[in-house]
Amino acid sequence: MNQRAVPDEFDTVLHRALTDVGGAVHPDPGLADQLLANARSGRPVVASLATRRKAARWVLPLLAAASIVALSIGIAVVAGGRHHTPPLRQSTAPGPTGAPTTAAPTTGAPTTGAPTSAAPKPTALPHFRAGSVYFSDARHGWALGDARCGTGARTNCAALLATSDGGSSWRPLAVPKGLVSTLDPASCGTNGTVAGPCVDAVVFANPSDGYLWSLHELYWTTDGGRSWSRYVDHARQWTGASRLVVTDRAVVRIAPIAPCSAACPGVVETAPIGTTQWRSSMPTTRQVGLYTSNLAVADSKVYLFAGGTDANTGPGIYRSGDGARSWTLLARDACGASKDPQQDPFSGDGSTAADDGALVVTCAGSGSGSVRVAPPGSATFSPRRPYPPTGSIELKGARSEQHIVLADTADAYSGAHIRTTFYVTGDGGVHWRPTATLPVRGDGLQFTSGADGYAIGADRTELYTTHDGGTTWQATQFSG
Amino acid sequence: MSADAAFERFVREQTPTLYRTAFLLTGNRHDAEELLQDTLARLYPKWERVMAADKPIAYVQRCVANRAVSRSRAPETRAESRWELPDRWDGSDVGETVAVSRTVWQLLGTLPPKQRAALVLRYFHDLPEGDVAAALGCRPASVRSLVSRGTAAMRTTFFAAPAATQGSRS
Repeated sequence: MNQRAVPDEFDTVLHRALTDVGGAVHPDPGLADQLLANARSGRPVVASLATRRKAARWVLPLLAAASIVALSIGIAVVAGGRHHTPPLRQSTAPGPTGAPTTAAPTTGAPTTGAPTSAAPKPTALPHFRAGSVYFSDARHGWALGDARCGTGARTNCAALLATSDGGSSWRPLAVPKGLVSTLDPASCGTNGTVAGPCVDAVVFANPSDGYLWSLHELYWTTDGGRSWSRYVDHARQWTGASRLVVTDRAVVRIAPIAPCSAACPGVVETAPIGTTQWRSSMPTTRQVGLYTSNLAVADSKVYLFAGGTDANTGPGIYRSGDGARSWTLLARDACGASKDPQQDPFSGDGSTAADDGALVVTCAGSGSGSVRVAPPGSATFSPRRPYPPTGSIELKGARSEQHIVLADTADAYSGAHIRTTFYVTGDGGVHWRPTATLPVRGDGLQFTSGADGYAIGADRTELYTTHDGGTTWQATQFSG
Repeated sequence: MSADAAFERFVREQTPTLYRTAFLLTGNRHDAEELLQDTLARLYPKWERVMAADKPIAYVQRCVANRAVSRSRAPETRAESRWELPDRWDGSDVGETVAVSRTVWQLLGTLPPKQRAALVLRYFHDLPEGDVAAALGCRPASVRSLVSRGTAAMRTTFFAAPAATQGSRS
């Protein structure tokens, strides 16, 4: 090409390049409808969209030579076929600002979600596998997972589905461009963006305002997932969260301060819903554990179960009624005092708030651990009540200090026979009763209340739903 | 046909064409959609004037280009954008030709918005200098300058870059 494209021919090269690129660009199917609706409504489109923080930047003009060689080779291989080419990643690392320099994963439905109002008949994504589900109420839910990058593709890309009928049917939504598979263990978890930017959790405050996030990345939408913006914080290498919850008006997270894999401190931050205008909201001068803490929402209040770090034991349990702008200390040393951070029995990440505001605390100890409960408005805890002496118990939800749901997840994360056993109590943990053993995974298992629970099937193609605290479950396919 | 009906027909028929223009001007899907929404929302109240143009599609394309340049001046839209490759790539190209096109595409993203708009209108839409000047609100001589500077900058980098950058696989 060097010999042919002499400077005098550059005009031809430029013309050809623009023709090639322009010819390869196709709008989303629902764009015309969206344009019409916005124009007719007189909506201040620019103002509303421009308020979003621009997440990306112009990629540097000259890419590394090796990247281009890889790009051209990859393109040559796939362009010979008649199916569309999934653009190759130009780098396995984020771009200069941390913004992914990759193109869209590919042509398939995962990247071409249309607005809900203009969506055609719901269609399933090929080979969709769920990694995380979130329901904001009994009808509206989202499933984050992966699917084939496009027709004929052999690789998987992040994909997002939404339901507005409780999971009976699902429709694809767009995802941010350049995301690797949600299930890629190299890039989700604490490893960093090894293969590329990755998100492994989804939360929506309402059908419009949602967040996709992992420890390293955070994206948000204000138009129901039609478009996404990436949160960029140049001061931090990891820009996501270990925990993130939403209320009607605020999004609250525990964010990493720096890359760290254990016993790390995090920072509690809050932002108005639909934004990423984070402001620090630390309830105490003591360190809050990044991985040892939990956030929960009950009755529009945010609860922080702050676990400890190497520097200090768990700072305590806090509640906020104003979207985490201020906190009230409810309890400290809920499992007993300890001077040694390594011996702190309080498990912040294993604790939660019941639907009525009762506190349900997990304490480490012999066996599977124990639970202590305190009624709403009180910080007077019950005696320790042991968990069922089996497996690996995780506290999953509670309707009150009496009605609590546990899951034995010893076989729920790996192995040939994925299964989870559920236990419930009606007397605050004095007695536990197994209710069901199901082929569902521990990851993605979520109780939005003490009654409503959602679990992902062993092969990630099914959703299991309960509305009676885990006693009975119904299975539906994500493929509809 | 009412102005509203004409507007709807135009949008449904011409969105793919306009979207390509917007993508070439902005470099990514998100900004391309915003640019189109912005432009059409501004034109909708005066659509009868658009219909009166000799070629409404050319008129709107010029508005899109003009708006792209204007938006780049606005403080709130001065934030950096991503220069994406298209989601879909036609199967007609192979090997180094595609790589060259993509390299040129990336280089285009380094140009100032007005130079970029001039090149898109000139080389993608094949508009004469006079039409480009009208679209960008400048004199034809300025268009020549914009095109000349833009292509010169790209040409210099393109030919100064290692062979691999130009798509050679050798």
